[in-house]
Amino acid sequence: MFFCFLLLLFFVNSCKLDDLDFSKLSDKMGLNSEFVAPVAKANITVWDLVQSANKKNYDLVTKDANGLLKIVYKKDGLFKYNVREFLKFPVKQSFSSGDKVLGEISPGDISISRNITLNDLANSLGGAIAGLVAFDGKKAPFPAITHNGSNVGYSLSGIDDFTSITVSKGSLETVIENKLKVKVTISGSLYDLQYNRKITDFTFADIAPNGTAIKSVNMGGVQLSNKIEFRMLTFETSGSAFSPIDVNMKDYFKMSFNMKDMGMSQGNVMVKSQSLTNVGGAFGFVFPEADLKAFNAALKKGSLTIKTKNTSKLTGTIDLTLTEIKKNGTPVKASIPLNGNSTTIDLTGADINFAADPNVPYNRIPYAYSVQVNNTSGYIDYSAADLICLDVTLDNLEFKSILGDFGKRVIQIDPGVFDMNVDMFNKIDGGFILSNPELKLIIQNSIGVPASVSLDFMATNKAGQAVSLNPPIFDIPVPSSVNAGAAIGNIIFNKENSRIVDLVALPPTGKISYKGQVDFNQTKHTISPQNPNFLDLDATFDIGMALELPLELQVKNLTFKDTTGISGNDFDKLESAELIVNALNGIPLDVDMQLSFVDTISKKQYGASKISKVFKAAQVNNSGVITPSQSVQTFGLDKNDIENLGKANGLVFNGTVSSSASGETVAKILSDSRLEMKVVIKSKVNL
Amino acid sequence: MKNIFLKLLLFSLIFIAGLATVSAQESSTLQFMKGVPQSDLQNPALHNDSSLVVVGLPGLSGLYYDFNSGFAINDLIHKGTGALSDSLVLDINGFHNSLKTTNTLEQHLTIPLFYLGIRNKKSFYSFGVSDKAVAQFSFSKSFVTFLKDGNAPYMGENFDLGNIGVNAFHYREFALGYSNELIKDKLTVGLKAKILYGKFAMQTERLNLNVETAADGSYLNLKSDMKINFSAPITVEYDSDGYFSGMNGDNVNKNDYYFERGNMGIAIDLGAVYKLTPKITLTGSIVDLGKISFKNNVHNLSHVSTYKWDGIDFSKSVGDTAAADYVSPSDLVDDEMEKFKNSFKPQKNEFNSDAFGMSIPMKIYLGGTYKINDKLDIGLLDRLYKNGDFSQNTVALSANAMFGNFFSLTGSYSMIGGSYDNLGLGIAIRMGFAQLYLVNDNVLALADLAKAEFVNFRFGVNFLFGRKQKVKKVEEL
Repeated sequence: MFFCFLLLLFFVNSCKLDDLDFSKLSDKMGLNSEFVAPVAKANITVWDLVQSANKKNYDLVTKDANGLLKIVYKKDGLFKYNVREFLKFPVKQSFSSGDKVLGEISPGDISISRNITLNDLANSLGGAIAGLVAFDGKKAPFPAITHNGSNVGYSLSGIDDFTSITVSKGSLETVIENKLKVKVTISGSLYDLQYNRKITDFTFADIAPNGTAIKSVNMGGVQLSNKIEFRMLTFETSGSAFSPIDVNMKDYFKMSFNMKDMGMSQGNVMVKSQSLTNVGGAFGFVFPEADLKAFNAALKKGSLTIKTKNTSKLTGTIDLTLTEIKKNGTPVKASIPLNGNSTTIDLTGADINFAADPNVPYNRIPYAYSVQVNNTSGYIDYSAADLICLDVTLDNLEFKSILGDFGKRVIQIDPGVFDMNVDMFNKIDGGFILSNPELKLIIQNSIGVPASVSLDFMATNKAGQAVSLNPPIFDIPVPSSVNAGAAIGNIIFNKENSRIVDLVALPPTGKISYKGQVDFNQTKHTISPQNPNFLDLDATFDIGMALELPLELQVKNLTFKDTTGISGNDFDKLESAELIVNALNGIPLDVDMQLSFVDTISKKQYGASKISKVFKAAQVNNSGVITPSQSVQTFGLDKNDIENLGKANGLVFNGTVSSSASGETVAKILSDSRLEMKVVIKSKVNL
Repeated sequence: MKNIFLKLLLFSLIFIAGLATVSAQESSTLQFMKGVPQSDLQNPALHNDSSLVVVGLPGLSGLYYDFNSGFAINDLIHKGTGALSDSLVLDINGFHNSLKTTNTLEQHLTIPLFYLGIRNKKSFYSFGVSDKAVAQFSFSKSFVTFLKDGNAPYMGENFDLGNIGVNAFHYREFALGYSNELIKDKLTVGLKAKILYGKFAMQTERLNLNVETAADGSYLNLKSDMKINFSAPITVEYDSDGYFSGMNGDNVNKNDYYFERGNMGIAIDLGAVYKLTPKITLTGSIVDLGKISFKNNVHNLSHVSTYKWDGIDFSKSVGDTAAADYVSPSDLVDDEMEKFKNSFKPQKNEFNSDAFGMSIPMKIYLGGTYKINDKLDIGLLDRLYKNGDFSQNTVALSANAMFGNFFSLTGSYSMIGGSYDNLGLGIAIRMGFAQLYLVNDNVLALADLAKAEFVNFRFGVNFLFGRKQKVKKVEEL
């Protein structure tokens, strides 16, 4: 054991273990292996790339029906106008019909009559008629009789309707009915016992038995009392010519006096319920806008208050109809008592037709009223010259819409400014020309007034260069009717009618300013009730903007730059690296790349790699047919580049894009263009 | 930290070796060393010691260890130059240049547990129990070529990384030996029958790797073909999808392992010693001709895998993230990694439990001695070592001296495989009935382990009884 221990000591002390002291092992292995391995592959479309790059704003890039990509920048509400400021409306309007005479009233039709028998004739005339008394009930010849001389009066029943009136119109119909058995000829008159004058006379000749005859006379202007009688002046008959007849002393002839269609201008009368007058007129509506001619309006709310003034003793109501103020299609009516109390009508939802007056077809509210009188319990004095008056007030008016002629008006589009802030523009530099950019104004207009807009845009880039769009003046869409809602239309400015191509080519990375105005009714077409201006006060007037940039572009050396942070330490084991991109590129753009190695804090650049092509553009023939290009491109970093990479904390990707044929052709970027690529990395390590 | 560990390992090995007595095996210096009975480990007919009884006790029987490779540590790790002159550098290029087409590293460890040898007239009977472990790792030079060059120079080719072999086993040997002097003073023959009990084995029938790189680099095709057998008291575990997930040895019972008897094998040693002339003696032997059949706790894995890597397809990761077929880049990577792992992960149906056999390393010794005088002779020994596909030839020239009856000294020069700088030393000192010995075939390697391709040493303590009379008899022979 001791021997072993000695041997152990010997070996431990003589053992050269320095070469096994692994704590001294260096990190360096002297290994320079070169490895190649596929890294990634993809078969993607342009649309996939766009959606991946636009995660925050999917609406920024769209595609049309043919798959052509478009950048669409939208700014809603570029200009919004408060339509309620377009026209001013009154809240209250007061009207008066003025004093109006009541006019004639009607006492009604009056009819009085009297049967005059043979007995009456025998008593009043005597003579041969009296001789018939003895033959009453017997057959005997009726003698010829002629009475000609003094008036014989026969009383008539009294007239209750009035005591005395002045007839303004009407007719008196005198009717004889001959119930005698012989032909008679009678003349006489209707006599006013109060005024002691004949009202009218008449003659009925040769009225055959059972015959009837009528005579009418005009009563206009006649003053008439209610005490009247029939006065017979003559009575003649040729008798029965010795032919015996049945003699009846009760046989008679009847005299009737019918007053028809009577109107009275004054008098003492027991008034019967009737409608007196129908009066019409129109109130004039006054708008604050002096040149506003309103044809029609719809109210959201309002009220109508009417009050009467009446100088007569009549009671009843005035039935007022505002024929052109309608609620649910029905004209607004009101019954206003003649006693002076007011009546209020709610006008919520009412429509007003201001154009019913053919003479003044605007701003007029027609009215009509009739006076409904009630029965009087007794006789009253009445005069057609008595007056009534209507006072009408429209209050708390809130208009919903109006049609009319609004006159020439102007809305100023106040100068404004906005920043497009499209990230892509901020990252690119250099020339590119879009073939068919468009600036679209999206107009929502509820104002039914023809209008034209002059609106200009001025764009700037970061270098301070500016381009004005210079668009033409354009007419805005107008809704077809007040109920049609907003008319929406697009006004497109393209290369044909503006400088949009130059504007986009800036690119507009700075501010975009705008200003303009809207002119209403500047054109000469006729405004009429059939073709009115109209306005809904809940309407909108809004101009939005969309800048559409179809990616049909001619681009030459368009540069883009993007910086990403790196850790230089990650590359200290690398000696060189190559990225080999095997691509079938269906996009007609060449892409070259150069990497710069920078310090993002001090902004120092340590170096840059060679410019290498990464993708070769697809070919485009004269017909626009795209043929994908197959290529294998190598992007390499040599030892020097790797050293610089190791110092940097930022890697700048400097890309250059050109359309095919060195930027001389127009490249259409279609959403379904495909990029198939395989990326292989070949790297030499330095361990 | 690493340095302390290495020193500790060295000390441990030396300490264990110091307790050994018997059971040296492969040391070329040992065979003709005078007065050391361990010569019968290399030739059952050769007994350099005349003791009547030789005893090796558990814990005192000694230890043998050797390490053999076709290259030195120094070929891979060595002092740098210039600014790195005080540092050690990993020199892959130098290492690559030092490699052969196929390279093997081997280790042997023998721990004797018991030995008893009894001499009776012309016969010698022996019985020994030892625990032996062999580990072999082989790889092709092309594997290192691939690491050194990368795959870029081989685009458009199918690069064969060669076979990797890992063979290791641990067994317990029960050896019953008998030798007899058939012709007096002329011919002695010997035989050892060995029963072997395997404890653990790992056998690589094949483990081949291929990498195909497309001419344009657009894909890599990785192929592996393996058939591995192993026997161990472990449980193979699988995940819910039936893929191999690991091995569980938590329930290993040490006694079950130590006393495992299900994996039996046999081996035989045959030897002869022929005295051609009074001065010239020829020896020849075959040692450890046999194999072990592993039947218990056996697991066989046959797995062929291919994996084509052509980059991560980002086609569905570019575009609308709300699309139904969108896959996020991180998910893509995860899926690909999962696919990669599953390609190489064995499945349950690729495991079997078929018995397999492992041949134990065989040695053939041919040699002879020339007696200079009573105290000194010179020896020449050729040893052929074969373990599977690995074979190595050693030629050793030795000078063997015995001073008095107690001090034996042998110096040797060996050409071991391709190594030509092996100076060996053997020392044995007898103190009473105890003999301490130390043998090493490459002393210089101990001085500079980093440059050594072959390292071995043997330590031991023998208890020898009745030797005095037998020494005279040997001398007379």
